[in-house]
Amino acid sequence: MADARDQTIPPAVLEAGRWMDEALTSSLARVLDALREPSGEGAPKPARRPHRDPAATARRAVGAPARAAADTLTAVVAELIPRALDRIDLDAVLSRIDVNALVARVDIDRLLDSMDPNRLLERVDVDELVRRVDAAALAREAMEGIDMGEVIRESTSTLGSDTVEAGRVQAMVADEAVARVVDRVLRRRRRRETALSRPGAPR
Amino acid sequence: MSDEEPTARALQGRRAGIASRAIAAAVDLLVVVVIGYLLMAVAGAVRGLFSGRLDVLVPPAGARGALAALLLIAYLALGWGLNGRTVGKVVLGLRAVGHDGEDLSPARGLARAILYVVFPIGFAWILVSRRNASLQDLVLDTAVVYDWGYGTSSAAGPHPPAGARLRR
Repeated sequence: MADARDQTIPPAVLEAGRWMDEALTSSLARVLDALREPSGEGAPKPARRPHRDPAATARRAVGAPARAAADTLTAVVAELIPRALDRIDLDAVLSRIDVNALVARVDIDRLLDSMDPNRLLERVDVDELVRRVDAAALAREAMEGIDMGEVIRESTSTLGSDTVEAGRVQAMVADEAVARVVDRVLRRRRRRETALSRPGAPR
Repeated sequence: MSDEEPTARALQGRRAGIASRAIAAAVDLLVVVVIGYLLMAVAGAVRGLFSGRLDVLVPPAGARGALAALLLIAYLALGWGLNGRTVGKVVLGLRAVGHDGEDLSPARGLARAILYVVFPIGFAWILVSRRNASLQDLVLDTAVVYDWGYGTSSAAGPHPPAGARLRR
């Protein structure tokens, strides 16, 4: 390991690394020993069969020790990892990680695309949501926006007063008709001035 | 709402013609007659408490006309003085106003009522008037406009005391 890197890596990790290095080396040595001496645990060699196929013989010769070596290696690694983890101070490692930078690297759009909104909604407790909403305050705000006077007037005015309205409109029409007739008889050119005068204007 | 409703809205505040006003006046007369008979019935009932006879109290011939006139004047003055409306005007959606659309003072209402009862023919001037004004309107500087009660007509809002109103 380069010395320059030793300054940035915490000592706990360094020690764990060295220990693993040691353990692996010794384990590897054991494996190699096992390879050099074919053990009796592997596939049995049928003594009576004549050695006709050199390839098969070679395979048989290597197969058993290889399997043994693999088993040993697996067991060693399985034993190593928990021990290594026990020795490493994970807090120190984690505190060096900038979590914000990590999160910034996450592509949130892709994450959101992969989410199913319907399933999300299923998780939401709508009843609870409704209970949290202050319906009275909402209603009050809505009422302030509505001109209740106008609404009431419109609704009550339709209660049977359509006839009255129709009658009034008929009277207006009659007014107009009579005025037109009279004006024509009197040969007036201009229509009647029915708007009220403005304040201050001469009558 | 009727189809003519937008037109009706557009005419709000404009002077009404003779047809509307005549019908309103007819309704008013009918109402006054009914009130008169009611009053006579009530008076008869009150007298019946003392005399033991229940009949409608009919005023003697000479007084009848005068009482009727007084009743009419009171009815009209009350309506016009308060918010420019009588029963007939309410039905027809009209309102009696000053020349700028302000409410009539009770004094003007009374004067108008007297003039109408004393000189009813002045009503017919509406037919020819350019401004749909009766003679009484011309004399007193009043008008009768379409007012169905939309928006902030003074019929809907509170009235300031009569004395506080300024004559413009």
